[in-house]
Amino acid sequence: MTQVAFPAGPSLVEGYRAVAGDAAMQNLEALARKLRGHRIAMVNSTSTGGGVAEILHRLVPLLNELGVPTTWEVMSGDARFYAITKKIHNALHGLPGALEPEEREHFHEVSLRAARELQLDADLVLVHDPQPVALAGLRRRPGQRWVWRCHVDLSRAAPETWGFIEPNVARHDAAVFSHIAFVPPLPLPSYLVPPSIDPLSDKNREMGEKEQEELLRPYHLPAHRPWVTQVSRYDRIKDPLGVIEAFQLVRKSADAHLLLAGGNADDDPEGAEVLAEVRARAGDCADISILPLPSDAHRVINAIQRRSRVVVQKSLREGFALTVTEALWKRRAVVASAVGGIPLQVLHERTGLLVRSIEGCAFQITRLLRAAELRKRLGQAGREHVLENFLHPREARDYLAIFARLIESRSG
Amino acid sequence: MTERRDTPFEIQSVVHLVCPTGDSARNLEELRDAIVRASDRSLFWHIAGGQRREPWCAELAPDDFSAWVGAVVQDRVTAERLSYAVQSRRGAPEPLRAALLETLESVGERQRRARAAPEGGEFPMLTFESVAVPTGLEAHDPESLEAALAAADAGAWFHHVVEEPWLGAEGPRLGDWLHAHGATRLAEWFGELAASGLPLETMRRRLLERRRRAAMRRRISEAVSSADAERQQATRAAVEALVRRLRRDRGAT
Repeated sequence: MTQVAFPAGPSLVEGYRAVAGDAAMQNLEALARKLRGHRIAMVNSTSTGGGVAEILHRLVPLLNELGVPTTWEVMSGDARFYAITKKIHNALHGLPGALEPEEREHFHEVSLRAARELQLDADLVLVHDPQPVALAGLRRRPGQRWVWRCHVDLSRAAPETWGFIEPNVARHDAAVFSHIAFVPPLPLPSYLVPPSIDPLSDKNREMGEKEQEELLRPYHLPAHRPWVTQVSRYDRIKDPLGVIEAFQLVRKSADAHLLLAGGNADDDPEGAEVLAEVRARAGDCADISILPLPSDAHRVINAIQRRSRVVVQKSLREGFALTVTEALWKRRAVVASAVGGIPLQVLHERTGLLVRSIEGCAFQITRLLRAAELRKRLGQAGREHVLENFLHPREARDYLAIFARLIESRSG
Repeated sequence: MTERRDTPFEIQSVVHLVCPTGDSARNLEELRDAIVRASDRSLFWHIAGGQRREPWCAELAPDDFSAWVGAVVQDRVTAERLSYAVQSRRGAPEPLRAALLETLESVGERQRRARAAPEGGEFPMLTFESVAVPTGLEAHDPESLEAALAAADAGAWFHHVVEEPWLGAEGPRLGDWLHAHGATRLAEWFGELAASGLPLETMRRRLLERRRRAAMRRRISEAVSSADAERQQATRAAVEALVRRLRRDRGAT
């Protein structure tokens, strides 16, 4: 069990102010003033890797800089605990595999140890995801407020596993979900807080053309042809084969180069299988480049997205699809499936184009390749939509507003 | 609410926390039932939430009800009629609810059940909680209130101009405060602006335009009542400023 320490760094408040604007930061600062005198603890199960750790690395120092003392507690366990939480994670995503009684028992034992060892005396405790969900029932003190933040898509959750988690969730004062489709019936207030991207990160910061060229030189991509790009891991639900099929329809009438870029599949047997299928389908077509990238290739992805004329996300299912957020932030013209959280971001004909079929995808890609003005209009509106709704300061603001609300209800 | 003339008006921004109500609709009949059960806040969010989400846009997307009926249920006629119901009755909860129900009930019950969303396309009813955020902006008279609102963010506009008149407010309301300070025409102007359903940034631009026009009228009226020598001096200064600008522009090109 550890508390994450943060070395001193440049001001995040000023960094975000430069990007998100003064109004967004003034709201955040005013809410932080409301919460002065209260302490916050964030709890999750890892300090490295994954989207939750990524946002906490920014959120915790940001809140401290705003004058709200915030700590980050990491609940750790043994290999068996992680195997159990992986099983829970999979079952909440709808895969088979119910917990055995002894696995439930071990989960409870590790939770008890965490409840003893973690520093959880803050006024407000924000618990991320299912791993630390039992702590509220084991460690709650009078006057505290506990919030469960679920980053997982629960829409297909296996009932037995959700039945194990739900009583623990019910011991919180509120729950927060990323999307309406993920919200189960609960006897406590549920709020919708979409995820967000970090405009200061390597993946999303501004990047000049020279830097882009240098980063992309090793990949020998055709610099003078318009790129149609999908960035995602090699997973069937991302429908890379459907993207190739749509692109082949596009190529009948428009010049373009397809780029499928995404997570290296070395440690994922199914990913390797899908990558092989994608390579087989692409064959020796010179118009298609397949780029398996390491998980830390953030700058390369930034450069690829910025140099793409059209960004595609033709998923069959999605959580929120932060790759779409990233592309919109970079003023790219986006064609994406109307699934999961994508329609919250891609407002059809306003910030991008939604599609429901391979032919629809081909039609809209071709339309965008031919219409520079439309690309510009959608790209600009997409950027403003993300600026207003899907950057880290907005997510921080929503958490502070929930805390302020809970404190008001306590004093009321 | 009666407002005292010496009470300053405090401009507040607001953060909206969106929550599911637990209710949802799979077809027009269930949408009708959900609208009957919906709270005023829930109705409001579905017709006005777009203004909050897209303050900058040139033209807003349709309200959530007609967007769902048009795009998901694919009943374009009912969607158009719902859009009109929202456009014409967006000022208060009960007239709006009645107009929405009248539109939906004009479709026969069997048809209402038959016109349904595909699986996974249910309409989730949402509501929201407002968390007030102080801005530090305060107005002591209608003129300074206009200036303060011109400088306020989209949250403040939504809160004072759109949300408060619809839902009522615990504190002083913009319209009441303006009436109490004798600015009846300005209060009416804000009322018309709220009913327009325009994007928030368009509303702000209209206020800035109104202020520019008022300032111009004031300058003309001051000039008319000033002495000849003062008018000549003002004209000379204006011509000199114009020449300076033209020279600067030529230098820039």
